[in-house]
Amino acid sequence: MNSNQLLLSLKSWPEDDPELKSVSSLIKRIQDQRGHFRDVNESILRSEIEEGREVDALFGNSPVEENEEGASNSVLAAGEELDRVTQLKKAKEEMSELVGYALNDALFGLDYVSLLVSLHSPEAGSLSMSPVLKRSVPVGSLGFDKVQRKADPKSVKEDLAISHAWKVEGLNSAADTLMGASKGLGDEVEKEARYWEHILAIREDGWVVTRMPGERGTLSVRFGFAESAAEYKSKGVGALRRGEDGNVVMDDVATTGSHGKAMLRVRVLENGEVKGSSVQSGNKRSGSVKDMIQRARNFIYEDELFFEIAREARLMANLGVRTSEDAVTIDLGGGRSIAIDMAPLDDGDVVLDIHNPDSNLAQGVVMAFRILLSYNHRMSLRKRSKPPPPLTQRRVVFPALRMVTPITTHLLHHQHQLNLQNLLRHLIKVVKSAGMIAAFVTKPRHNCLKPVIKNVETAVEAFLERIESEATVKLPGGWKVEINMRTTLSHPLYGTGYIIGTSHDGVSARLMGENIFTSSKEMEMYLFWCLERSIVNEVRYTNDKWEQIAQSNEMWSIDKSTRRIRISVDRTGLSIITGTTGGKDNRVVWDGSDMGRTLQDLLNHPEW
Amino acid sequence: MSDPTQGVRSGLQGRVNNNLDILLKRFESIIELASVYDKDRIVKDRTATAVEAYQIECHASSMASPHFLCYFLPLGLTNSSQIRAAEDLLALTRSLKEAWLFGQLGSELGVVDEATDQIAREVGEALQKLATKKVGGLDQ
Repeated sequence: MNSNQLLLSLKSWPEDDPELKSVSSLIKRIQDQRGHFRDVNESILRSEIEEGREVDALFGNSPVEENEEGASNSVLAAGEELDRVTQLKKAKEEMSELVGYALNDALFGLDYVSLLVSLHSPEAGSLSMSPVLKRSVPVGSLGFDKVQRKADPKSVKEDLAISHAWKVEGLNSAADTLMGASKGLGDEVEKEARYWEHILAIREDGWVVTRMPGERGTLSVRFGFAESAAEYKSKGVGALRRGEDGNVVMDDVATTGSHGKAMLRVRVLENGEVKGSSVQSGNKRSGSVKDMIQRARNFIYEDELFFEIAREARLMANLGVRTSEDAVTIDLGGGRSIAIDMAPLDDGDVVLDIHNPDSNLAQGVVMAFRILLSYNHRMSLRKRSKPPPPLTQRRVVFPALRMVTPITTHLLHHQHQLNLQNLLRHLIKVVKSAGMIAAFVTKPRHNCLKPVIKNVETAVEAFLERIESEATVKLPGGWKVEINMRTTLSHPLYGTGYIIGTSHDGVSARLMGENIFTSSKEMEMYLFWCLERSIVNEVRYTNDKWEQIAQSNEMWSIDKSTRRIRISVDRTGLSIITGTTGGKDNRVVWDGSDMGRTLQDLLNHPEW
Repeated sequence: MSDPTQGVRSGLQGRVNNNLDILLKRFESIIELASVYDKDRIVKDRTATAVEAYQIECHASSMASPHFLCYFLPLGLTNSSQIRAAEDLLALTRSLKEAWLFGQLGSELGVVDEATDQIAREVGEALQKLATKKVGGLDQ
């Protein structure tokens, strides 16, 4: 070695390879070195350490050595790389040469045999003769003949015995082979028969059995829906293969989503607390093919349903519909909301709690969703049956299905209608408790009655669009109030609107005719106002000692003009504030409970 | 011919016949080879017997197993017919079953069950009644 040479490596010090110390590589190396871990315990290891103390000393520097070796190996390998390529080339050439020889020899053999055969059967022999041979030698020119043996009686006898034995053996083996084959075929036929029996049973159940697309000779069952959205169209086919014993085995198609979520679930929440939930029934455990097909069918339907719900719900954020990755929440106001998500199938024994109205509501909503998707499928079929729209350059985007909208409309309308009904009931009660006459009647969703139902489509359509309810209220003093409330989640209302028409004699109030309100609060205020004025009118009619002050809700006594009353109505009920100018006000309230005292009593026997 | 299925039928029939012929021919060959005497009533020598015993096995195998191809048998049969005549018959039954199964398929598509509409009408009307039930009354 030259002493001037700089003996310094510029390479960085080899870093600790985490691979070398990782448990997985350690275990592997330990297993390579000392075998498996079976029956290893502490004492054995200790004794091994004791025995191997001297041996350990030998391995003191081994990691470094290994590293160096590894490095030199890799240098070598790089050098060898080129050699390997040429070696490979060489080997290949050698091999093809040998193969060529073999082929040549085989062809020679074939030619020889063919020529020999062509002596007795020229057409069979000439088929396999090479053209070169045919050109150079005439067909059938090579002869062969048996060497005539002397018919040695002893050897003839021996030959006969041997021939007999061999022929019998050959025939027996042929018989065995044929019997085996026939048995195999028989089994096959039996399996086939069983398989077809099952296929037929599946078909009898109404499933559509088709050929598996893209797979020849395989039958499949189509459980998807023809009118599904493009995302779901290609799904919904399961191959029906023949199992080992001839039973039908269905390909493992998805019967649940992630985390086993297989079915749409609707829950009614009130202030974050679950008040009612729909039931996810399904034959969860059964392993039979029919049940599996059914589960797969159900899942694909539910999955599409949720997909479409989420798609539509995303466009409805302005209407109080919230979406997250795996749930849609419809806000109904008043702390109540409806949550829609996918959930695993219930165990078989869960039944709907029919005494819980919220569970009933949830179940109803789930059912409505399912009916609506089915309806949309029908609509899609109808649309496809029509001539297609003209081709355009623009991509046609299919609008979201309308499923959440009608259901939300119904839920909101129902809620508002119940509110109105309760308000009216309360008002009527209040009026009656004050000794006057009033009544109301509501006709909920009366516009749903109009369409004549002929088939599935018309049955669904009857409930799809705007919903209107009517209420007619008879108030004291000859007032009649007609309330028409309508809910639609599209232009122009985006909610519930009220059209209230009042008819009266026009004495106590000038405002008549129709008024439009878009919130229940306004509607409530207006009804209170109507009731106030109608009571003023009632007092005017029945008691000529009182007179209204300038069309307001105040009246004064004709006998004593300082004596006044003010009639006001609010949520608690009807209150009459009585007082005299300069005196103290007194307040009498009818909140619906029986007071034992009517308004007339109060007016006829004033205590102030 | 007025019957459009005539061609298909004769094709299928031909397939059956062909397969049967092959099977019978093989059996025939086995029986022919079974004799220990040649046509001159002389005992065949052991070389000939050995070859014939082997041929018997070949025939049997080529009837039974699809993978045993005896190309060198001087039998005048074409290569394609040497494979699985019996299996082909089985495959034929299967394709017949499929044809029968799918032949009826068309009639089921697009048929709407009328009962569904009937049920939908009943449910819809019941729902109309239920949802639009009047509450209250003016003559109270």
